[in-house]
Amino acid sequence: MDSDKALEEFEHILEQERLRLEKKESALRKRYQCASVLLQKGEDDDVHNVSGLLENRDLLLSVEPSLESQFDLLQYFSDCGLLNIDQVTEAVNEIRRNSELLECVKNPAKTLKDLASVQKRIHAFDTMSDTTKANKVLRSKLSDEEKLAVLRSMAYHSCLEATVEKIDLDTITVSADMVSSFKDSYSQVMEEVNPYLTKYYYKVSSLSPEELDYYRQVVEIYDELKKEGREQELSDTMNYDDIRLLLSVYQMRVLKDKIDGALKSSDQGAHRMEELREDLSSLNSTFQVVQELDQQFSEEKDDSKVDDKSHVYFLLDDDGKPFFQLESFSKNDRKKMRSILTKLEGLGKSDRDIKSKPVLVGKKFSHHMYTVNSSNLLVSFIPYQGDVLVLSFADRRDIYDESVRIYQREQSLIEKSLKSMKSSSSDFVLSQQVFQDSFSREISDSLDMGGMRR
Amino acid sequence: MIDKKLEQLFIDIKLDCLELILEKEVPVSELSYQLGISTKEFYQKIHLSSRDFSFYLKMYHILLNWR
Repeated sequence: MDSDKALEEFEHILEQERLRLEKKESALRKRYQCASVLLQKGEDDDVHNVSGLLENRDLLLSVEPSLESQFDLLQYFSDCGLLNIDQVTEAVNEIRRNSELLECVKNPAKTLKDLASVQKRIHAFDTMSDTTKANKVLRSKLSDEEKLAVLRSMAYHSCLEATVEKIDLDTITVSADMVSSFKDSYSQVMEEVNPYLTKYYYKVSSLSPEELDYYRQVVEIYDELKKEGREQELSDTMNYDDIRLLLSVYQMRVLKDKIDGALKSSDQGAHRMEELREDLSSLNSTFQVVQELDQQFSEEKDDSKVDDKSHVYFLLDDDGKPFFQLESFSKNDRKKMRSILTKLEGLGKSDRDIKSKPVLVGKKFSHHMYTVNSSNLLVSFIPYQGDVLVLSFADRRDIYDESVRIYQREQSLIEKSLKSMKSSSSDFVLSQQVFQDSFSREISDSLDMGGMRR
Repeated sequence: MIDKKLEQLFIDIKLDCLELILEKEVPVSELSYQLGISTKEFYQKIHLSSRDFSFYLKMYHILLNWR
């Protein structure tokens, strides 16, 4: 049988399998999307989440087309602003109780797992090695003759692509002087390199090679995007100079270990010496990068030393009240509040310190929100020019929803407060002073009373 | 080219993370807590293929060290 024809046949089988997986992936994705929509809770003025259902009308109808009339009804009442009437509840119930859609919400976590596994199999298709491909040929439904023809063709193409490695026959030995001179240069470089390894290597030593590889790739992509002025596309919470510094420190350590190992080895051929010189030159240039970045960070740190304590402000309503109920917290929680506030003050003026805290809210909001915790009690806050605006205190289970709710409802108040923080307007500072005095007093009083009771 | 590279990088790290979640049977609620987000936000980020690379790097680090 013609080898190329058999290979073509085999490629067709693979393509069919890939299409089948893609179809499965699409169905699972759709199922998961439906689950996300149906499990989403609505706001107070739209308890049934009618707006969410309508936004995803096409998606839900693609699973169950017979629900069209219910969606028309929802659209009509939504247009009229009547979201909490019986007809709407009935239509929503009919949608939510539909057997096809109920099937989607049964186990979203399992759907996600299945989806990941299918995506992994698709990915494996794209990165299949020749060995895997050969195994697939052997397990396929092709006849033995066809299998042999495919393998023959694959082997032929693989030979065409193979390159012959140049054999280095360098066996010339180098003099002891050359080695000694190299060792001197190496020691001089290491005298400068070692303090930086001591200063930074611990930060990178806990990272696995796989993680470092991801860091390397993302910095490369960031640099390429920056060349095109598109670095905003990766504008997340990472500081790319920080990562670049760590990668360079890691690179210095790798080169140092390599050179140390080579110097201990008995192989001192000329080709090895040349390789060592190249490694030393790379070590030197990497060191320059580390030195520059370290200098840059030191200057930034010096700037922030002027006043390294953050001012803690609270989001207050027009009556000067905060968005949390102090009386609802236990004596123990109030004690924790005090330690949390001290932590917040300690964040300092440097943004880089704040970036190390967990991000609570992502890019869809104009400001990032962060949390600091003391066991189960957390505070949510917005860092702003070295100071912080506290939104709320809450238990770890409630902090996210609570903070997002405040953020969404009080956006203009938040903006106003941040502006006042920047300008230190007298009204704002006064209201903060009044509140913080009473807040501190209440915390202290409750702790003292607790002490007396004991 | 760069867009493809970026896309591939996100797919790779996302798959690695999901594989570790399955392999180590990591409860999503615990994982999202360690990431500082709610479970709902976690599912949304995964589902909407978040472009925040630090999210995936942080998750990957936590998962690699998960016991």
